[in-house]
Amino acid sequence: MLSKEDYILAELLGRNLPEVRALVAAAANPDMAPAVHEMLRSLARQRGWNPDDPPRFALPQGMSESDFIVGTAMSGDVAGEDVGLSEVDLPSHIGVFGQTAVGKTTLVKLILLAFTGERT
Amino acid sequence: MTPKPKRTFLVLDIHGEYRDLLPLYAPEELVWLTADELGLNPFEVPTGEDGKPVMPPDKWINNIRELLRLAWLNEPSLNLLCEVLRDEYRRRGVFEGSGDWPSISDVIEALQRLSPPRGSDRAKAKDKLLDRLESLRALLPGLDVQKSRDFRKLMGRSVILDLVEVKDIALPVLFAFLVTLLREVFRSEGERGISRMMVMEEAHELLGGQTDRRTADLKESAPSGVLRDLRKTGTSGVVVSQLIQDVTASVRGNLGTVLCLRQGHRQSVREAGAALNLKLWQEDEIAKLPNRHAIARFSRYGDPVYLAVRDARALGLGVSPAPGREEAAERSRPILEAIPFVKRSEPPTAAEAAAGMGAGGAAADGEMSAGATAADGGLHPREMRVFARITERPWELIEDRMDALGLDRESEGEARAQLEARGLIAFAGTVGAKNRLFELTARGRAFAEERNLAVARGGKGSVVHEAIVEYTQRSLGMHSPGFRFLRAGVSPTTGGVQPDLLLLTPGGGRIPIQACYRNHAGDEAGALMRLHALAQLGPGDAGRVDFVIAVAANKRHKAALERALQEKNGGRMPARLVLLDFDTVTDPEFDWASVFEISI
Repeated sequence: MLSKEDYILAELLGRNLPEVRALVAAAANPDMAPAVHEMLRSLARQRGWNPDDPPRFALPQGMSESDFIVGTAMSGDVAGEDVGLSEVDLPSHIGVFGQTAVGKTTLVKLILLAFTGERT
Repeated sequence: MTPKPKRTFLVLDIHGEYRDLLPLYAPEELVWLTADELGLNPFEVPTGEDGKPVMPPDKWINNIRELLRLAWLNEPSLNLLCEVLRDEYRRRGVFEGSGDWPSISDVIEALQRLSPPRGSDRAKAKDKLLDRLESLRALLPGLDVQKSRDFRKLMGRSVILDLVEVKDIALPVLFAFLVTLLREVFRSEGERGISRMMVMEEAHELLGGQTDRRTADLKESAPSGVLRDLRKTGTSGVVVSQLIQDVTASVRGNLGTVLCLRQGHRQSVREAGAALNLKLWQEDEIAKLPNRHAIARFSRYGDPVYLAVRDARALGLGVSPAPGREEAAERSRPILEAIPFVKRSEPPTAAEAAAGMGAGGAAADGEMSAGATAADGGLHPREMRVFARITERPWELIEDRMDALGLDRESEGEARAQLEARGLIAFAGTVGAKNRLFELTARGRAFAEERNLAVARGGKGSVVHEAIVEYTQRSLGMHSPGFRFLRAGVSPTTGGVQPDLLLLTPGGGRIPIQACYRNHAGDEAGALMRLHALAQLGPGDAGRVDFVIAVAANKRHKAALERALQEKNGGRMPARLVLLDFDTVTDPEFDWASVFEISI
């Protein structure tokens, strides 16, 4: 039986990836669970993650490039890369939420600057 | 290859936080203005790309009806508004393309000219409508214009609309008006893609929110419609709020992309988690986010992304200090002056006045009254005398005007009816049970100034108020010729609270007198309680008064005021406050001595 942490690791690795899905299915057999646990940890290490302290968010693979950069990914496979809005995000509107003085207005200004500036 | 349309934005800046964007754009690319300078007339049909009105005036009236529904008006009042507006359009030749649009003040004046039977449903609808339109005019003077700025030209660049001073019902009404303009002027531009962003700070105040009682009735209909309309105009909405649960589920459902910074409240964390598609084990992260870190869910990919917001200084933001409001206005003035608006009708020229009533105000039958002269603008001498008297003393009761001019009731009434029909005077309100008061219209004021007549200066903005003060002073003066009076604006006495009238008795008594006529009895009771507090001061205190006299416009208003005062004073009337009404005060039999004996 996999632990909660194993399931979280599976989520982060991408539960829909065939190899991850196969591993989770195999863990239904209690005899296989310890081996699956190790294999998940090994997959995490291959991504450069510490399996005992994996990132909480893994930027999805295959995410299209951003047209309007507003920040840097802090977690997952593409940590350190620029991320932001794309043209296709705009028609469906944007919500920005956050308590006072955490940078909400600055974020909106960055969106406006990116939107009216040259495309990156 | 078709060039991409220029990208612009419109920020509804509720807290005045966006002026630091100004140094990053050329003045012609980004303008800053307050709502007072907006110069947009809601009763004018906006023009499209071809410079022609985007729809017939009759159809535009439906948009107005929906806008004013947000000001808590319902059908009887809205129907009356449509009727008055249609009449004004007709009178001014708007249906024939005259372009002489009525301003909010013009519509108020047209409403004031109506005289429905007292107590009738129509009279109630009229009062309510007048109340709301007068509030809107006071709260949004930038909409009380005759000819609007060219909205398309204005929006040809980015705009920061400073709404710091816009309060109360004005905010959702103004917002809905802007969305209506965008929808009608930029209709179908969405087909060319998104070329504009509209930032809605404190969105729950604009779109209606779960926690905002003022806009709660917008919940069902407006938000999804607003966002859908924006999309069609090529505008992407940026909805900004502190708590995600402040905006309705309907608004949240229309947000494809959500960027969430730290949330502290347990419910906000849960709601944000749902909006961001977070797993249960990820939700806690929202409460732990450092400043300028966010979790985002982009519409193009459903999974959440953890990001650090870019350093804004690298883009120049905040490098130069944000310009102050005056500097921002100065910077944008040349651009805004090139997109002019017309505040109100110009006064009639001498030639127009001599020929009739000036622009849009010719006498109904185009003929002068018998005995009229051209120099009197076609008025009969008797009408001219009544007009001059109202010009000088709008607060005067009809009976007194009759006495002063030596006219009987019928002649005075006929002359007054002529002046009303010509749009020179309008009904201003009733004082006491049945004393109707009249004041000059804008056209009447121009007519009077043209002839160098002495125009009474407005007091606190209400002829009814002036009538109460004048007649109370007159009545007290008759009771005791030794009384002296100080009028509001003359003396800053009474401990910083300025009453309408301060009575000084020969024995050194100081008695503030307050005229009460507004609909909001609670507010007036509050002002009276502040004056009453001065009557509680010790004998040596310079601001001390002996007691307070309040005079209500009529008996009904007096009763409302009495209730409000008791509510504010633990169920009892304040001991050193005498509450009277206009009819009592002006009754020749009224014995003021009883007031002074009891109260001093």
